[in-house]
Amino acid sequence: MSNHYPIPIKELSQSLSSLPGVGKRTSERLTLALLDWESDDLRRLGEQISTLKEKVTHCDICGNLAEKELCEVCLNPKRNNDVICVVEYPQQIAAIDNCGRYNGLYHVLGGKIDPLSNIHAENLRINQLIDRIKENNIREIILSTSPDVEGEATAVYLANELKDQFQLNISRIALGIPVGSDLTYADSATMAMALDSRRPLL
Amino acid sequence: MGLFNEITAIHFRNFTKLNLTFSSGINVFVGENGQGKTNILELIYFISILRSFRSNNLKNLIQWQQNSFLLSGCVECLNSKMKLSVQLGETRSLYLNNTKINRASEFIGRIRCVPFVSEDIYLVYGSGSDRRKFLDITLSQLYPDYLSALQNYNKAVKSRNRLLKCEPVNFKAIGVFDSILATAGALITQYRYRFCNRLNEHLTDISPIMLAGNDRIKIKYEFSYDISEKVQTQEEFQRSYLNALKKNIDKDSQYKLTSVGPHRDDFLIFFNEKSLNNFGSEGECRITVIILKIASGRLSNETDNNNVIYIIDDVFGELDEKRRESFLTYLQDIKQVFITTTDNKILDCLPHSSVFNISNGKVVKCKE
Repeated sequence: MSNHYPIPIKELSQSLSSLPGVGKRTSERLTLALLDWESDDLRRLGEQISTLKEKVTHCDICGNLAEKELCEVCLNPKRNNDVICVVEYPQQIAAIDNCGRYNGLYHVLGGKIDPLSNIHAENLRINQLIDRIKENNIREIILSTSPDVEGEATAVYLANELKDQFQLNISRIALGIPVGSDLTYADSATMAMALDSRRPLL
Repeated sequence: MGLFNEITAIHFRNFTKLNLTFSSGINVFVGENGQGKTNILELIYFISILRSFRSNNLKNLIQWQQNSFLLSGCVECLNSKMKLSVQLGETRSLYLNNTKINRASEFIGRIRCVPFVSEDIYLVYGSGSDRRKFLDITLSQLYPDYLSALQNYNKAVKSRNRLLKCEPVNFKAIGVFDSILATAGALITQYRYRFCNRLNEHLTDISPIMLAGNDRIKIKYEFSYDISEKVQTQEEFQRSYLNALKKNIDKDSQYKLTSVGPHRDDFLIFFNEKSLNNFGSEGECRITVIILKIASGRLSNETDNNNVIYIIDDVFGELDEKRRESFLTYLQDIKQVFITTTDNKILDCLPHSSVFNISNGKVVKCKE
């Protein structure tokens, strides 16, 4: 940031640059762009930011982001209430929901088992999931944790926990080649994964 | 996969700016000690596998008083050309044809490089970790799935060890990492085990040529846990290893470490049925290392359809004239070889090679 800017610009720019994907130059650009906004618009933006944490909470049932006690998904009576898709973070719900193929419920764990970062099974919302299955007539669980060592460990851990206690269909999302991409440029780890999880066609 | 047509280096070791073009076949670097001959081999090795054979601290590879180095290699493989670049400063950036790539596993293995360097002696004198490093580097270059399994395995070992250190120990979570270790470990073990068996076949071929009389070299893969000799398939390795993890859990939780698995396996080297490490003479150890490397180089070359390159750092001093000639015949099948030497006389044995003179970081091509 150039030294000749007034301190308020420097301060805002500094704050913005701590956002993900925003570097020094982008934060400077954003700050200068805001300077051109109408005062009313700026006030509204400031209010949106300052009340964000009060207005957004986590769903009591599934842990998704919500405005009130329950999230949109849990409130929707049209959704299949006998299937739960387990994800690590709320933002993954949007990714899965946008595909239009899934109409069941979700459960957010709040992370994955990662002993090296001191995140253990008891730090995740696993008991809440077990309670949900106990109290509702759940038929199927889809484990959609990330395809890395920790995500895989979390999926195996959950599968072990659940299969001992309940009669359920437990599945893991398939891992492999992204749709629409060129097979030629698939990296070898993905390719090996895709071959391992191939499916019979006929 | 390919061979080097050209390399460029900026601020690497004692080279401020270096640009060299190579031919296929043998390339020789001649120069006095301390002029930078080995640095060129290190550079070639680094573009191939993003490691150094001399230093674990990669910062040491940056030229004195500089912040970063940039290496590029133009590589020819299967009639097409590509450019591999790597920049290393505070962070490392990798480029394939000037496009940034994120996974090292997609970079490593474009060039398969077998080093013959003085550090190889650690194969005999070093610890198990030095021999595992040799297996891991060789196999990672040949099989991309080996590298990704190894990365997953190492992470899972660290996670499991961390879980063992937690109070109270969560055995359920450990069991989960056991299954991940078993899957990745079985793949690693099977590749290593097969590699050692095939290496022995090559050692049987090479020993009579490179050794006197009836001397023979053999190696044996040594598991860190009890395993039946009949185990062959990946499923069997997985089951045996999982059993071993379960069997040793008391010991593991006492010592707070994972005591069994590929990260503790080793291989033993035998010279005439005797353990080389304990009974070998200095000379026997040195020639054994060279023979081991020839065998592994031939094995890599055979596995990889004659696409391996060699870098050879002044090993000729260790060989008498007869063995030197035998060694040179092993180089004939190799697509591209880089050799350093202080001794001009070596050039007489290598009539069809390109020769570079190197002095104080300056390299001059003096024969095509």
